[in-house]
Amino acid sequence: MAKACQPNENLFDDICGSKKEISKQDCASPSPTDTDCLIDSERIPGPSQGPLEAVFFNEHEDNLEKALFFNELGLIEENCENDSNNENWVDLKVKHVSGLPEINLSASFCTTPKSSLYKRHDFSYFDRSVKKRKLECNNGCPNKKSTSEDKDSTSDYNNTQNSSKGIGATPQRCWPTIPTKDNPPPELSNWLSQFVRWSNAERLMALNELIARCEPTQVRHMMQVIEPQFQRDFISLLPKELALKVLSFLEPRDLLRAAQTCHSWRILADDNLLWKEKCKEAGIEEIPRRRSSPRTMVRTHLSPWKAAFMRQHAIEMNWRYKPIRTPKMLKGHDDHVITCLQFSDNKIVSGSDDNTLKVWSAVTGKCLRTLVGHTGGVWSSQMSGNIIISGSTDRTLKVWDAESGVCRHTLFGHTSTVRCMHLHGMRVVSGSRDATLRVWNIETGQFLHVLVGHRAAVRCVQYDGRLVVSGAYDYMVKVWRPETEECLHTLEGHMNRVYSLQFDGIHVVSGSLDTSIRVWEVETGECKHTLMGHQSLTSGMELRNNILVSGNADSTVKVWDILTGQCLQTLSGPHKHQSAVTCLQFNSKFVITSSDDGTVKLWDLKTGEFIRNLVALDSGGSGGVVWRIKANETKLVCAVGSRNGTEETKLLVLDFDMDSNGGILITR
Amino acid sequence: MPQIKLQSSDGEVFPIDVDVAKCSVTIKTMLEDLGMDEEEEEVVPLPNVNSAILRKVLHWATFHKDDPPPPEDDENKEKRTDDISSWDADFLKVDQGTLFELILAANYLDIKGLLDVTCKTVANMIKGKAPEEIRKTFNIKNDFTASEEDQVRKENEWCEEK
Repeated sequence: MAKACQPNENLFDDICGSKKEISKQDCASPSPTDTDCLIDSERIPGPSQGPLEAVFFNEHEDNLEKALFFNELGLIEENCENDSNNENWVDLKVKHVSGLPEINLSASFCTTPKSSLYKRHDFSYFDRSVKKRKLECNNGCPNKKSTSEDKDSTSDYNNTQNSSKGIGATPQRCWPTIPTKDNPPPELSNWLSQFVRWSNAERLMALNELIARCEPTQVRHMMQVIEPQFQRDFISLLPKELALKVLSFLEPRDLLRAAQTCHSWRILADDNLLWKEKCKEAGIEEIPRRRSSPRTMVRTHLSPWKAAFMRQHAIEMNWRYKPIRTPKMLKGHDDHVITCLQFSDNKIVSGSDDNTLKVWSAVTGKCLRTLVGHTGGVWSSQMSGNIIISGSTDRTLKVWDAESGVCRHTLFGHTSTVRCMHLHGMRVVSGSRDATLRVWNIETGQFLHVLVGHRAAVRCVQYDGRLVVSGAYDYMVKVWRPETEECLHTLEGHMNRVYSLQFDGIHVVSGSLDTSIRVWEVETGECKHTLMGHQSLTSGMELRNNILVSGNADSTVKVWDILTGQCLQTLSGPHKHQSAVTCLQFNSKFVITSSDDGTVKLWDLKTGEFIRNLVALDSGGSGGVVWRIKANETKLVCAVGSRNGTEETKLLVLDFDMDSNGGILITR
Repeated sequence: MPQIKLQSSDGEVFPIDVDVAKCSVTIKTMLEDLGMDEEEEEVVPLPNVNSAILRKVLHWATFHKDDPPPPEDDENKEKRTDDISSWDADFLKVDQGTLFELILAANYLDIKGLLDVTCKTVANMIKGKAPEEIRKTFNIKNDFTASEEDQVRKENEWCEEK
């Protein structure tokens, strides 16, 4: 019995300042008769059989009790005044990992437990446990012996314990199998009070030893208790600008999920400037005007930029997936061909070879005006605000007021059909079968300039306010300075008629019946690239941000990078058009194409994948044609008809807006 | 190589090459503004960074001292989080508490590269997770009432293929 109490005396010495020496002594010569050391060394083949184990492990075999202990370790910060903040856990870890816990023998002990938990475990309970152990000792259970001495030795240096001594006064208690906080295992408080008396270094050592003795399930339990201590709610805890910086790296979809976690995340994930940034990334430059539909009213607390983003996304999804119902039909022009189409601000203008133009409301589908006056078919048109300009086989241009339907000016000068025109500001440039181009002031109706040089019909024209570019049936593309009426460059190279042009101020792109598309530099007149791949006439093109989309009579559409001359995508495959492409339009996500086969198709710009048919005329394949299409963000207008009377001439309007009933306008 | 001494909030002094220390715009400015002579044995106090974190920061700065200056944020450009170097990824395999402190330190010391990479790391911990998974990851309590949660879910619905 005298030997059995030695470890605790060591502990006492240890605390008094001669730790190294004592632990050496302790570990080097465990007496075979020393029950504590014997039992410990049999049970745990660890390198250091220090006094800690004697205190901690004499009886606590029960897994549940270990688990309970670790639960309580989670509360150690509360129990110990020295370690009053969360950082303690980080420090513990750092020092633990370093493997060299600094030994600070002058460290003060946490002598004043303050948590209510600890108060429940006060020293009267401690005494009860001692009583129990004594009884067990008497029953001859050897590994219980030392603990009965624990109390004596520890109480030697703890007066509070001496004062509350009452051995023998408390009757033996039966402890429930499953310990609870109110009913803890008897030695727990003894064990914990010892722990809190130790210095940081001693505690670390004790914890190492403790962990080494845990079973995997207990270690896992420990992790579950400890892990949350290492977690940080970054978004709620970081200063706002830093939290927003983190969120700025998330994609919109992740931001939406983040907004659903809790109040503070929601506020930050809904930040208006954050969404403004997301909008910019997605190419949304401005917040659409708020409409007063009931649905937007409910959402008024939302960030306007977020609302704009969500709207655009919903619209994109509508284009992709929303079931297409019967589109709105705008019947007119009898059985004539619709030759040109304009669409802006919910106003549609169709020009026809029936000599008229019609102005329609895209909202109601009503024909607002019929513009009558031309004595020949209308083959070209432009629209800006309330002004409509038309070119006809009657060799004139007419300037119309869209609202009143009044013809403001008739522009005489061309000696043959006006086949193409391009409006910029108050000036329109017209190209004619008479091989000339003319520049007009549409406000005054004044003729300004004539550009002479082509030797055959002018088929296409572009004007950016500075330079005029024209393509003609003489295979030439010409660059003009309208003010001086001089031709700056004649771009020679095409082997056949030039049918289509695009001009962005730097590059001229021309499409020809020779199947090639050429990219020219407007300043030098140099041909930068010849885009080969199409097999027929390139009838329509659109150029934006150096991306060119070309529609061809070979029934395919190609996407090009005009800087490299590379063909990025060919919109073909099993769902390709069955005959010539008549018209096309693209934005940052989609390409819309129409064809002689009576369909309008939606494609993914980036991947070149076919998404779906937006229109498929029943008469497709038997004469039904989509001649022209024009789309804005939410609506698609198609001019359809047929050569043989199988399809009545009309406009179809499809709506993909999120706010209209069901997304598609109801058929009239 | 001239050195200066940095003192952490808990008093530890770190001698460090001036070049490395100048990764921090805060220190760089401080040295310039105060006209601190690099020869002098002056100690720059950093009262907002403890020694454990300062050691990490200096480790990062030492490795990255020859990096080109990080590009200015372009708000029109989509922000990427898949461009963290393997060294940085390894360096940032730390507990959330340490990562948190590193963000604060990088911000205080004005080290854009470290701030970016730490913020990206946190963003990557959020990415692709459902709200409940996010809560679990960061030990967040769901403080929405049932009706609020319903409302928030509706408000943040991401339309997809039907």
